Amino acid sequence: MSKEKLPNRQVLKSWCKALDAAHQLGLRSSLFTLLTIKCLSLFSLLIGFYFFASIAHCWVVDSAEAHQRDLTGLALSLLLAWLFQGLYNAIFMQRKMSLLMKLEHLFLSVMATGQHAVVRQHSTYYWQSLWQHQLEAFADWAMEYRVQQSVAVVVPLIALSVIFFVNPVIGLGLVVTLPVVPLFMVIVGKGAAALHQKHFVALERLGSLFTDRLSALSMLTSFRAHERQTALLSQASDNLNSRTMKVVSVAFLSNSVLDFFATLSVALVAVFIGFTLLGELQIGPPINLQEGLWVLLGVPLLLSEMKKLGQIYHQKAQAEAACLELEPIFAASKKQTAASTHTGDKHAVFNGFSVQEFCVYDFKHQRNDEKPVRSDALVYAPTLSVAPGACILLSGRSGSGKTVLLEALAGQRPTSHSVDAKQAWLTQHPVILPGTVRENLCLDDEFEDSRLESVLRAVELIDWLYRLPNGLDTAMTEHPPLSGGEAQRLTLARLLLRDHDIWLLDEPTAHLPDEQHHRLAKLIYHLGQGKTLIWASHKVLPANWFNGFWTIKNHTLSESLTSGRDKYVASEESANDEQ
Amino acid sequence: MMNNEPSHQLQQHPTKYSALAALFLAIVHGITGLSILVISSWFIAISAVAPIGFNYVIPAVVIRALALLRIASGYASMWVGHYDLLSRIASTRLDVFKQLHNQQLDDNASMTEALARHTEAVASKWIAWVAPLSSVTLVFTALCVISTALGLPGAFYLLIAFAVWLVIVALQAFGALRVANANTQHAARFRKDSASFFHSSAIWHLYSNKQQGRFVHDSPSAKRTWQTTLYQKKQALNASWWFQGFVYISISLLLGGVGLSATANGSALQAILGQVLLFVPAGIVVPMVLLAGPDWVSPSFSAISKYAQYHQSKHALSSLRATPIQTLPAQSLEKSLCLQSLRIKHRHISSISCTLPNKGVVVLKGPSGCGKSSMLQGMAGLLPTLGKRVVDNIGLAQGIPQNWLYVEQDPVVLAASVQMNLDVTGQGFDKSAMRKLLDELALDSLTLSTWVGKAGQPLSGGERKRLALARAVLAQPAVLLLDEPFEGLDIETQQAVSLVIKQAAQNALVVVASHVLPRHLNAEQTITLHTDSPEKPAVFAKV
Repeated sequence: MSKEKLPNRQVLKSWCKALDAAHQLGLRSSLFTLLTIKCLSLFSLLIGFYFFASIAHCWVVDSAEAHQRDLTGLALSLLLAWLFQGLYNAIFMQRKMSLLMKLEHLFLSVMATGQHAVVRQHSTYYWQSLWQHQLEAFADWAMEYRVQQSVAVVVPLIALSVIFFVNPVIGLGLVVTLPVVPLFMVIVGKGAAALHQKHFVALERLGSLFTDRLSALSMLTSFRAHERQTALLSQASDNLNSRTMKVVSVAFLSNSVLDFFATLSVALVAVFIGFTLLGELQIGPPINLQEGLWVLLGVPLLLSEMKKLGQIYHQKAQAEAACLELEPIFAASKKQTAASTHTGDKHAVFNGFSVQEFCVYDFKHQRNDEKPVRSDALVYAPTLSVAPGACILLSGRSGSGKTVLLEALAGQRPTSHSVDAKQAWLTQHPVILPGTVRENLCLDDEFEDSRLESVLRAVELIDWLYRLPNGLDTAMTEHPPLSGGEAQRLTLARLLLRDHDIWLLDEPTAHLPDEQHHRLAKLIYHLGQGKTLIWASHKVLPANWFNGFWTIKNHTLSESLTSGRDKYVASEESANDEQ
Repeated sequence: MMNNEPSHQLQQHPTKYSALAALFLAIVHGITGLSILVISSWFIAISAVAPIGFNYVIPAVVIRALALLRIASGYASMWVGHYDLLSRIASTRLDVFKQLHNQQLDDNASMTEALARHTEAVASKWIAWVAPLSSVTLVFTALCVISTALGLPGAFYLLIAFAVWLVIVALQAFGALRVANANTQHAARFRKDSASFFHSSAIWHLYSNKQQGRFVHDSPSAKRTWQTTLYQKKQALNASWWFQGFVYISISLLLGGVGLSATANGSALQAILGQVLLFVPAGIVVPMVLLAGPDWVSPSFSAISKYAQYHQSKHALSSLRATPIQTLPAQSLEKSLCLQSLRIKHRHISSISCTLPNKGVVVLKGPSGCGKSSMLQGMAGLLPTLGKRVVDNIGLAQGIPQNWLYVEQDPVVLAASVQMNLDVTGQGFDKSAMRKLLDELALDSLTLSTWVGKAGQPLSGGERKRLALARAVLAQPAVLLLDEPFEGLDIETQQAVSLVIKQAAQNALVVVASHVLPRHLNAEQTITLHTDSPEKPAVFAKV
């Protein structure tokens, strides 16, 4: 069970590659640039070591002052190393920020395409943390971990070739022993993973108890269970800690393996060089102090970058978790270009829509390029036609796909055909922004006050407006001075200001008492004359308002010109409720 | 894993000893690392000139011993440090949890995550910044003292490097605290902006500039938050970079012979030891230390960033905002509960006035969004109200009595076994009674030992509702307030739930807020809430 939950590196890598290719994130070039600069910096440092060793040789062996040539070389190569490091820092910062901005842009494009259809699937908190934290986690991994990963491979190779060049015997020794490091790390890693697997369920459960009980505070108070739960938490954390220690005791060994080789290689190389210099050992070519010191200074570079990689290892795990959440969402943006072209056409006047084999697909079908098949459709309509100015009643049980169909008509979901017209929505829950009444009506547009008042009069809110302390400039707070019906009428006024040809009405009266339902429905009907209305409703509406009836049953939509019933119509479910 | 017996053995508080031990080990780790490099280079240098009678065995052994010491202290410091960290996290979290006794967090979802983060930042104090900073300080001090005492050539440069490091660290700390503060503010701003952004998703299409470019342009952005986060990192990188630059200049100058004469005057100690131990090769020690400088000093710069985070988290924890929940002792109903123009403070909800019986089912009706949930919570005493709750002719104070229970529309299921979820206070209910109740609620798929909630078996909304109902019924409250208990249940399950509710209503007052009413739920009384006219009191009718 747990294994399926853990994504592997290949998924993250291939997803990253696909994302990079599809949206020109420039990850490859950033990776390459940063790697090059880092290697140049470390290579300059290595050259600096050469001059350093050479000066030390002068001092110690020849008891002479340093040559001017060596001093200049040292100063120059250290300066270069320093400048490259500064360049690396600057480019890293700049590339990471621009990657984050690109990711944010991509995220918002997905939001712009899917709109409410996408947003309503998760909580606000979910979207916020996805936006702020998961995108960042991905950027951390892409710009830091991946670069460091390549550096940790390339730099040891450079250092090793220098060491080889100076003294093949030491070089050979290192070449033979170095591969042992990753080998040991893999063995230790496997051991730690097995231990982690063994305690996986317990660690998962115990680890989340603190946040879990925090989010239950109110219930715990009602039951007077706080003390009991405190005791449980305390017990659980003891248990968690002892289990975690068991796992990390092994996991830390991996770090120690690195430390072991890094330290021992320095110590042994030093002893070897020292003994060779003393003449106690005679293996390979003779060494002088300059060569010896240069090798000694170069040896730490073999493993130091690997150690730095270990310090940011958590980035990988976090990026893998982020990838799980981001992958399905960003998949939807693949066809974003196609979607944006058809929003461009939407300024045309709506002159009817008539298609056959209309299908609405799940978001996941945007992912693969092959054409989705009919059996995958969330809603399927053998024929679907909307005449301009039509008034269509959409019915079906709750959960049958009424909202999905409306979202599809609005272009928020993948479909087989798209409707080219400007469409406006009215949902069950009216959206009231925290700004003023004027801002609520205008949004990002501008209208004259007389126009605003006339639409408010049309939706019977003019008396309400006159009662407000600051008129149109009254701010709507968290609990605005509006009842459910009034709020819905305000959103209706918002529609009246705009010239959308099609109104998609998703049970706008669902949460209103009957009396208000009738009042608002009448208002919508009369104000919507001349528009094309597609009206999903559970509640009773006069049949003579409509000239088209759509019913969704078993994911299939059927059209008819008559209600098949009497004067009033409603969906099946509300008919059930009446029994 | 966790048994149901109440625990008497409370968390042992982390002692200072483990922190100090970790600190000591970290310092040993740091010192040995540098010593190996210095002694190795000195050893090579001295080998190259090979003085007569030089005993090469001792340095070789010392180097190897240091290597082993470093490896061992590295592992041990990680182990002890982590052990200390874990016990600190546990005790910090327990303290926070105890502090929140009878309180409610204001912004639940983001607050719980934030608390988890803050407690970790506070607990990781020793590992994250105390150890690296004190390790570098100690190594620096030791180096300065030793090199000056021995009159090593270039000791002067070490003193300056120490001073430069102190200045850079102080400047960075000052900046980091400011940036961390800005970061907190930007993050709060982003949370607020993005929340209203997502809440208005249903009207995004109405914006006139609905081309994606404009849409993206007008939306809130996490840019500022990211910028400040990145800036914290940049500060650490910059500090490290400037120090590196200083060190490289020093090396070039030192090897060029600048300022060497100043230290070559020779102390008494040098006179004794100089010829014997140090010889000429000692000249290599200070340049070596400086050259390795960026490596052994750089952890201190990232430690400063951690310090700023620690500071921020500590502040967040000490100014933790929570709303207290008033609690009252048990209050049983002998005759009736009388609500006199009861209204929720600061809400536009009509008031209600009615008399409820001490037993039986009462239904609260009204369109959704009219404040049924708020009204139920007001009746329970979980929300501040105006008007009165009168129990058996005696007015009740604000607050929730011990034996009154409110079950939310979307109730909380603890990450725990079903049994622990039913018995949150650990009273030890009869297992067969629990089993029977679960069966009555059509929850036969759950066993008492099934782990539910986070990292457990996922439950549907309907299952969570029924589990919470079972929990409430088992507690045998005098007043039980249920928020939409039938929503999302099929007809048969609704019947099963209404039977359990009716059974509970034989000994208690059960108020059900619902827009669906199953046929068999014989309500004693129905109250209808309206919203449109806050002045008009709610009407109620006897059935």
